[in-house]
Amino acid sequence: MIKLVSGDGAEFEVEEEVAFQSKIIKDIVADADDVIPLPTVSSKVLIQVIEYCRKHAAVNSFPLSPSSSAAAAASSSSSISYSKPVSDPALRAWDNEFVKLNNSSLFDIVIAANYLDIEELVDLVLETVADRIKGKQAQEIRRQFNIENDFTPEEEEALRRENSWAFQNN
Amino acid sequence: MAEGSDARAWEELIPDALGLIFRNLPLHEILTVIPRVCKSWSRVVLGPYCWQEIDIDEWIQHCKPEQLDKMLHMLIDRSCGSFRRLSVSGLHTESMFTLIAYQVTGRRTVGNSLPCIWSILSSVSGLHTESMFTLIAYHAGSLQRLELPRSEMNDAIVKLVAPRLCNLTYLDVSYCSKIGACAIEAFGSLSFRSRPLRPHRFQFLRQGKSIALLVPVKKRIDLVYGGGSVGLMGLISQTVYDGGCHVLWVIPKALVPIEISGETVGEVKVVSNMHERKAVMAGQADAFIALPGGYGTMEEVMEMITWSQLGIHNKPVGLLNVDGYYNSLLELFDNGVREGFIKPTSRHIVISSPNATELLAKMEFTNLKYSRVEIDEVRFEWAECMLDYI
Repeated sequence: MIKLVSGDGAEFEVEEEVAFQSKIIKDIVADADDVIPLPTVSSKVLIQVIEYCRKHAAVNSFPLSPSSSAAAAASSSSSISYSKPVSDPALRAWDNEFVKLNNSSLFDIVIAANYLDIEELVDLVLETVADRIKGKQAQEIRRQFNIENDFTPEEEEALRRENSWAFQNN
Repeated sequence: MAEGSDARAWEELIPDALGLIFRNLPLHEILTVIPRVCKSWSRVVLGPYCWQEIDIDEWIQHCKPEQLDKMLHMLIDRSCGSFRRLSVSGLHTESMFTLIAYQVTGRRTVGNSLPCIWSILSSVSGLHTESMFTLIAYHAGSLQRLELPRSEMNDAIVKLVAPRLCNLTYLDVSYCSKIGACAIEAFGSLSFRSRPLRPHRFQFLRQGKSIALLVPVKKRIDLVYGGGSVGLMGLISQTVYDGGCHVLWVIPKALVPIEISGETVGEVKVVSNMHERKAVMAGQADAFIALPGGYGTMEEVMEMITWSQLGIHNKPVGLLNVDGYYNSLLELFDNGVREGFIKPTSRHIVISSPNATELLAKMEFTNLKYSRVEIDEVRFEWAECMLDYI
């Protein structure tokens, strides 16, 4: 078991395979004792991150046996893929539920996941954020993400014109 | 959706993360909406953060030719030479390639430290121009990964430029209908003879070539082999040799007239019989890789696996399982384990992968991690003695 301590002092005991979803923890655990302080992560966020890691550790815990790698070789016969393997649909659905959070929570999670080096979680959150930006106008995006408009109206108009040439035929 | 009352500074998120968000968006939103949100987002879109993969295949359907030029100019400029992937279909003017080439090299000499493993991918419709290839060749010094499936360059062009592709570690020219044996020869200055390049056959060739290119360029491994100057092994030995590595070719006297055709490369060691050949190869090598092959290949692989099981050597044995060629053999091994004929631990002697890069990586890893037995000098000598009596 590995003990994670959040910035506000809460302690969480998790199994190694859960904690090792974070590459950074995996790296440091070798030359540290089993208590890992995470001063920049609040307990609220850490709970969410652990929830994610627990789920993914459970799903990913079946190591590739020689026979299944042979089967994988068979299935990828004609094309060689370098992208990540397609995760199973159930996990994908779980991920989609997991990110049904407000933007502030997503922000905190992505900061924590980046800090802990949990690549899949970073990707998941950033893709979710992209989905929330997609199809919206600048004004809407600013409102949704609480971003202050630091352009003068003239600057904004200039920017609007700048690349419009490329999309006039669409 | 309820917005958090305590606002987070989305405008201050690190540029890399913002770049990762933005590149999920359609091109027109990245270029016309995102820059107007705030100054920091605007700066991210101007920088390299979301332009490491440039994909304008969809946009290209609606644009005018002169706009394509401008767009490429702008995006490649923004990527600061860091783009690893460019997906553009139907490029049809030479100036465009010159532009890409100029931009990439121009930027890189400024001292961009980002790894420039760029791969130029064609889209489904394929690149139907010869100048594309010429362009790539100009920058062949750094090009490591080249994927040009379904492209229409021809033999003459390939022959002209292939010698410049000296750092290539991965090559995919499958389904390029206009290239033939002549081009294949040019790719490795090789003596490979194959007339119709069927995709299946070509996949073998591609992976074989890929191993050959990986070996000298990346890993500094020398080649010990028993194959001839014909076929896949001829191709590979030539490529490894050209890469500046040592090639040792072990051949039994009786096979000299059959397997040597034309010029050979590297050191040739003629031995008295097949068994001596294998003993010499096993002694000289650090690892064994079998490409797709026939009875001879299978027999040799089996012997190396058996020797490993006996502790005569502890070198990894790899099967390059191109297009699932060795699947049924691997299944047979699994069946052997299930039925108790093969020990589960011995099953791991054989490492397989459909592609060369992964195979080499796996074998290196295995070598470090599962050094099962220390090589036993006594047993090795015993094996060599045994050969004298056969």
